[in-house]
Amino acid sequence: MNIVGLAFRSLVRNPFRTILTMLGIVIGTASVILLVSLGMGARHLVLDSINNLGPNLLVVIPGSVTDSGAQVGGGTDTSLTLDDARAIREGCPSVLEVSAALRTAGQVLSGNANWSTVILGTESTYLAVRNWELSRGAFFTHKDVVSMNRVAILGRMVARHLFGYTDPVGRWIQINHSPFRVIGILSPKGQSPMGMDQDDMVVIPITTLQTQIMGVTYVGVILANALSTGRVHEASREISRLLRIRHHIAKDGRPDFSVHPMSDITQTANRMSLILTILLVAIASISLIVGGIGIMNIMLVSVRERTREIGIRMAIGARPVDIVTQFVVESSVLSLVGGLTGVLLGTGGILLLREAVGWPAPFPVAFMSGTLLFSGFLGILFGLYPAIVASRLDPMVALRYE
Amino acid sequence: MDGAAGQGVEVVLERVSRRFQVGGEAFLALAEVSLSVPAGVHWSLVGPSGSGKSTLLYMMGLLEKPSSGEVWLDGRRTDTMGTAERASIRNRCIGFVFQNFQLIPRTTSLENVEMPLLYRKVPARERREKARSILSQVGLSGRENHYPSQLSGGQQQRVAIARALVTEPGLVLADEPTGNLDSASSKDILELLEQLRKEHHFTLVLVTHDPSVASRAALQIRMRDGRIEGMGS
Repeated sequence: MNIVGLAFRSLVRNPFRTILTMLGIVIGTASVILLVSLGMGARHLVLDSINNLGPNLLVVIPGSVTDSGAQVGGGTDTSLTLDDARAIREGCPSVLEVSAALRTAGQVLSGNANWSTVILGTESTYLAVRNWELSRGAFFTHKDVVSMNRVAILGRMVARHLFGYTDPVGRWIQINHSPFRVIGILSPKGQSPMGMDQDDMVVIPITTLQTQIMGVTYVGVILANALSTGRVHEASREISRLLRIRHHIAKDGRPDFSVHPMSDITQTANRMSLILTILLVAIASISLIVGGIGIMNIMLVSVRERTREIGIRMAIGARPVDIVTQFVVESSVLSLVGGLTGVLLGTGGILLLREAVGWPAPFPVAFMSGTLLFSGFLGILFGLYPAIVASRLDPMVALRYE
Repeated sequence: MDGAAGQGVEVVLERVSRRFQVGGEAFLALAEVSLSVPAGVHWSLVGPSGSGKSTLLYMMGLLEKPSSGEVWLDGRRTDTMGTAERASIRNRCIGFVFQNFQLIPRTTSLENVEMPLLYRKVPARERREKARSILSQVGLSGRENHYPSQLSGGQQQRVAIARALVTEPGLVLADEPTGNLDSASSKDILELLEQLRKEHHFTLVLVTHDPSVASRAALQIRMRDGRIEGMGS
C-alpha cells in the first residue's frame, strides 16, 4: 500500500460519489478537446475552400475602402469595365491572366424543366484564372465573347436539374427567354468561401450577359492571377497604379476600387477562425474549472468525514506535509482519471464527427496531453485547500470527533 | 533519541499547566504538574474523570501542548518544537493505545499496523514483514487481512497494540486500554502489555480508573483536579 494506492482505495470506497465528482472534469475535458478539434476542422475547411481558388489569385472589386477599412458599396459599384480588365492584362507584367466577371439571377428552362440559378458572365480565361476544369465539352472562346454568342456552360447541379443524367452538351436551353446552346459542363467544385454553391450556376460570355440580359456596361469583379505566389503583392501594386491612372484618381484621392490578394483573405480567415477556436476553448475551460470546484467541495466533505482517521494518522506520526500529500494525491487522481476519461470521450466524439458528419476533425494530440496536464493541475489546485484544512486539525480534537 | 528503542524513554514534566477555553470559561486541566518518569518502568495514572490524567498522558505523548511549563523526552525539550518535529518524535519513540482502539475502518489489520512505518519511509517489503511479525506476537496470525469490523473488541485492541509497537517505541501510552472490553479480554490485554513490556523494555504509562488495573503497575500516580495527589506502589 503506497500513497497513490491509498488514494485509489478511498476513491473506490465511494464509487457513486467519485463518479459524480469526476463528471465535471470529464465533461470539461471532453468538450475542450471536441471544440478544439471542431475549430481546427473549420479552419481547415475555410482555408481549403479559399485555397482552391488558387493562392495566386487577386480580386479587384469596385467601390472604395474607407480609412477604417470598411468597404463602401463593395461589389455593387459600377466603376470597373471590360476595358479595365484588358488594360490589366496588357499593362501589368506580374499578372499572368485576367478574367472579368458579372453575375445576376436568372431563370433557366429546358423543355418542361425550370430552374432558377445564378448566371455568371465572364471571359474565356475564366477557367485558367479560377484553376477550374470542365467535366464535359468545351469552354467558350475569346471569339464567342467578342461576338456575344449565346453559348452556355452548366454547373453540375443545373445540368442535373434540367437534363437528369442525359448529356446536355449540344442541347438548347432558355435563359430569361433567350435561347442558348450548351457547350460544356463544369466539374463539381462545391461551396465557395462565401458559402455559395458553385455548382449551381450557368456560365455565359460576359458581353452576352451585359448587352442581352442585363443591359449594362460595367463588370462586377476582375479576377487576376499573379505569375507566382511571390509576386502577388507586386501584381496588386501594379493593378492599383494602373487603375488609379485609368480612373483619374488624384495622388491622395480615394480609389473607387480595391484589390484583395487571396493570400490576405486567407490570413484574415485564418485569424478569424483562430479567434473563434480560442473563444470556444475559453468557454469550455470554464466548465473544466467548475469541475475543479466540484472536486474541492467533495474533498472538503471527505476531510470532515475522515476527521478521526486524520487524528489517528497524526497520532502515529503523520506530519502535516504527509496529510497534505495524501489529500492532494487523492484529488489529483480524481481529476486525472476524470481528465483521461474526458480525453477518451472527446476522442470518441471526434471519431463520430469524422464518420457520421464527415467533418475533417483532426486529433489534437499535443492539445489533448495539455488538457490532461491541466486537469491534473486543477486537481492539485483545488485539492490543496481541503488538504491544508486537514493538516491543520488539532490531533486531540480530531481523535475525539464523532 | 532513536537509540531509545528497546531501552525505554524517560519523561520529565516541569511545572506543566494546560488551560482549556470552554464556552468562554477558562478551565485548568493541569495545574503546574512536575513529574519525572524514569525509563523502562510501568506506571499507572489513576483518578476520577476530569482529574486531568488523560491530558497528562497526551502531554507526554506530544499530542497536547502545555499552556506553560516544559516537557522533556530523553533530555530533549519538546514543547517548543514545531508540529512536524513533534510528529516525527511520536512516530519514532511513542506508541499509543486508545480506549476505543482508533483503528482506521475499511483497512485491514496488516495495513493498520504497517501505517506508522509508512510515515517513516520504510520499504514496502520490510513494512509487511515487521507488521506480520508483531501481529503474530500479539496472537493475531492469520487475521492479517481482516477488517476491524470483522474482529472482536479484544482482537481490535491487539491490532492497536501491534500498531503501537511496530516502530519499537521507547514509550507506550495507554488511555483506558480495557475500558471498552469485558473482564476476560481486559485481563488478556493487560497481560499482553506486561509481557511485551518485559520483552521490549519500553516505558509504559497506563491511564485507568480501575484500582485493580492500576495495581499491576510498579508505580501509581493519583490525580485530582489537575494536580498530582500522591504516588505509591
